[in-house]
Amino acid sequence: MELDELKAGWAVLDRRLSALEVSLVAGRAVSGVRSELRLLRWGQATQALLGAGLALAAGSFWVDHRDAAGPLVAGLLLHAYGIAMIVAAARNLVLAARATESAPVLTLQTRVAELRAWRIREGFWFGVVGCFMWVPMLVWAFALLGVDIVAARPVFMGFNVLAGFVCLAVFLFLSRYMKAPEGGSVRRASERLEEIARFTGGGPV
Amino acid sequence: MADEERRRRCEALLHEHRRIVFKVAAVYARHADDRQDLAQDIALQVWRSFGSYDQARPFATWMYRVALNVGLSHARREREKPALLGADVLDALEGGMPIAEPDERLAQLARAIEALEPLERALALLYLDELPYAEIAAVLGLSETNVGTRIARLKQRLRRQLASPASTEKGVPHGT
Repeated sequence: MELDELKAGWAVLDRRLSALEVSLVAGRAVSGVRSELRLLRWGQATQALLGAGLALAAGSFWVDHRDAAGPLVAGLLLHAYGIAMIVAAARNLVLAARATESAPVLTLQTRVAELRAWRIREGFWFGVVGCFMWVPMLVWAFALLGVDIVAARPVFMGFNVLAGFVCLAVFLFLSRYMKAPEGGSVRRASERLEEIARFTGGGPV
Repeated sequence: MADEERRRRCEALLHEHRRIVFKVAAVYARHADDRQDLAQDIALQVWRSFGSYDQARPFATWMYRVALNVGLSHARREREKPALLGADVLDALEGGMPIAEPDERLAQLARAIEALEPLERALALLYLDELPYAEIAAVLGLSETNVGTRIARLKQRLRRQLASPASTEKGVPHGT
């Protein structure tokens, strides 16, 4: 079979398809890129709001506790974490807003694949940092009760930091060896980017 | 009233270019039900995105973009290897004409395109539809030179595939 015969087959298909009719079914949910990203948008908007709340609360907390090293550091860490949540969410929302179905195919597919790959990497790093974030939260909670737990119980806080490392080890183990869904997503996102690179010959889109 | 006018215009353009909808659905959906769903998804996405269509530009180019993006999104969700339309599809799609006898050319076409990756299928569809390179470039977002290179590579691959004995032995998953 030659390419001309493929074209002949395509022409047969074309003729047969001309007999079909397409109609708009009212009320039907569309399943395209935008609907795929709808959940992401809601999640990111929620994350930005939570981050703003955390940044505001932690900001006022460390300003009020500048005289105590433990609460000050905890407040600064939580403040930075809140800002990171806002920045990450804003970046994702901007990327998602640029993903429209009427964009050129490779442009949209590259954007979606990059967004996914970035989300997965970002999720990993938030997970790593999250293993330790409850330690400053503990410091914060005790400070609200009027106790500087770092100064009062340094050994107890040391154990908490140690527990953070255990949590990190478990997280890394699960990410690396247990073929967690996250791992599968990383592979799929990488495969899609590789597929686009193969198609474009590694050149610019 | 403006909405009604817009809907009428969109439906008229959809009707005029309906073969694009069905061809993309055929290339990216595996089963008859999926194809029907995908054709509906494409039609609705065309309607929803219609506001972004610049009427100074060719509608077909814009519609190929929307349809292929919805098709690729479908293929990604399915995670299985989608297959090209088999000759059975007209029996399954609403409004289809009954087929007296299967066409071997369609079966061979299905086998050839089934082996391609989703993005290559998009290129194959545009190539087989005999779109000019400039239009393929506008749909895909590549330069015209790059389109020429990709098509040359696609032709080589299809020729190799058509020449290999495996391509004639492989079955088509549509009962063609």
